[in-house]
Amino acid sequence: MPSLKEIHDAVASGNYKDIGNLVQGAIDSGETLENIINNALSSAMLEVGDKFGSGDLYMPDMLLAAKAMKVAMEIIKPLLKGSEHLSEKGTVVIGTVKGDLHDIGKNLVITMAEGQGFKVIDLGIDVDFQVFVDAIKEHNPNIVAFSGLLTTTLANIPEHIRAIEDAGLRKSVKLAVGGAPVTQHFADMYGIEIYSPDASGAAKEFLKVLNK
Amino acid sequence: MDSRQKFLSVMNFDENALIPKTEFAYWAGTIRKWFSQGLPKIKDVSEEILDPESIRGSKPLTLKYADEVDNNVAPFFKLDSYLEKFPIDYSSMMQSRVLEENNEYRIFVDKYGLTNKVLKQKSSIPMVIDYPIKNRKDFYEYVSLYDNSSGGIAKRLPADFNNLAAELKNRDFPIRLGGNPFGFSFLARHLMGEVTFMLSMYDDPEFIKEFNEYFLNFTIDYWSEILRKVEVDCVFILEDIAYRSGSFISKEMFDTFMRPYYLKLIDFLKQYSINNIFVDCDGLIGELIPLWIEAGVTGLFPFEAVNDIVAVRNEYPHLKMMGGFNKKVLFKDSTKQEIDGELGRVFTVLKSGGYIPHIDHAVSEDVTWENFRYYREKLNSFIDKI
Repeated sequence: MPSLKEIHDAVASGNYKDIGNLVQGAIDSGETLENIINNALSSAMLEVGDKFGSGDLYMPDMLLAAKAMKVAMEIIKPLLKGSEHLSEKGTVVIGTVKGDLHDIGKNLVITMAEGQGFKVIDLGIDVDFQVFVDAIKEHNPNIVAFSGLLTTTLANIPEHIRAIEDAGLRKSVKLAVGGAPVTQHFADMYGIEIYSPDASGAAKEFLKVLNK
Repeated sequence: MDSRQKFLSVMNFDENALIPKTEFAYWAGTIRKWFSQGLPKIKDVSEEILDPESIRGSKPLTLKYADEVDNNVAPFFKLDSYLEKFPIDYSSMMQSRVLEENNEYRIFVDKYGLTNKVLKQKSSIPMVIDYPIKNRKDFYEYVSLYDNSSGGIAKRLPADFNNLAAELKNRDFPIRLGGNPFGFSFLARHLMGEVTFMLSMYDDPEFIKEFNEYFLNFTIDYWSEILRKVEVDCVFILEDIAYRSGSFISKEMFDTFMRPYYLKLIDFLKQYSINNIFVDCDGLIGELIPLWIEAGVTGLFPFEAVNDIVAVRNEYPHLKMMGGFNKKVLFKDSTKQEIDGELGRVFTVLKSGGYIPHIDHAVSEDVTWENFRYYREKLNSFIDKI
């Protein structure tokens, strides 16, 4: 029977070719899905995120780990009927704010959040505030995340928040913000609950806020 | 000394060099805002240029490009021309075609084969929704569209190339070859997207090597035709392979997928006595600098202020630099002391040569005219005293 450590290590090293057999082998041998998710897959992605954050791993390594995670979840998800809560820690709606076309940072956050078991609704780039509002109504997320690289487009974030408030949705979600020019001070200024200087930290912050 | 002579003398670390007073670029929206904040208007910004698009701080290569360059800020401060880009075309030159169109948006394939979506309701820059190269098979099909013969290359040269080359012999401004989209990670990412590029480094490393080998040879064929007739002052290699916390790729990845092509390209450039070989890379680049230097790169641009320009100059005294002034200290709520502090950093580096100070990217709309004027006048005054 493949051990949880083997599964963990396969994800952490981005071994997407073997991960399917390892996960299937563990399931066939009676390992619980909850154990595989929490003690092998998610922990591996947390480790990858930490190493990326500290400069020990690079972006291709992270993408490879995410690919391995995806292969594993494709095997696990159909078996979760009625127990989806085991794999889905919450829902995140994310988009690059109006006027901004950059998406590398946003895509990294998606990779890490999905790796931690979040369902992520990606609204894309140059997202109008009304699109965020409509997505909140449709998907009922726990977290709404704004991404922006340009200093000029950060000025649009208060407008996005106001639209969410005007729609009466502010209390139902936690807000997150990230991007090269964003600081903790900026997040505090607009009452945004979640900030992280990098993508790996963002997924951790999502978990922290939901566990509060 | 004209702008070109100043550029060359500074980049040569000449003792008596005059430092160019120059800016790389402004957003069109910045110039429009500054008109209402006090910048005297000499010429309106063309309505066809969107607010986030660039107005270059250089002289136009020909009148054809006159609308894309600054006609207002440079005369006010008596600025030198920045490096003007010699026009290049790295596309597959395929016919653009519209795939879908309605009242809301248009989806089209451009000459690179990128599928773009552009919204009609507002001024919007097209966003890429699909890439032409997803694997090695796509790559072979894609490059079959390129013709590297003299006849094929000739189609990529400006229509008036011979006359232009003759005119450029007597120019008073510096020019560069290269830049967007040319670079040994940037071009691949441009044509295949970030994820395919990065995963292919592991899944099919030979594919990435073949890609860069192909475009290295294409570049040598292409640029040979240009360099036979035009003496360029600088070469730009666009990478943008770092973010605010560091490099996207490791030393091993650089050594495997990029270094060999830098070495060959730079050998080729040396045949034309080109010594100003700059990498254009945003983000925190500290761990990449020694790799680039070792591969033959001699300069960096735009040297975003997330990097400590004083420390880099101390560590690499012969490394040339352009940019480095933190634009954020020119935003609305900044103080004069903050601007003076940032100026102090660039003054330190200026004294040691090989450096042209300017804002660390195109000047964005959140830079106020009042703060920009304060910064530029102080910087010009300091340059005059050196």
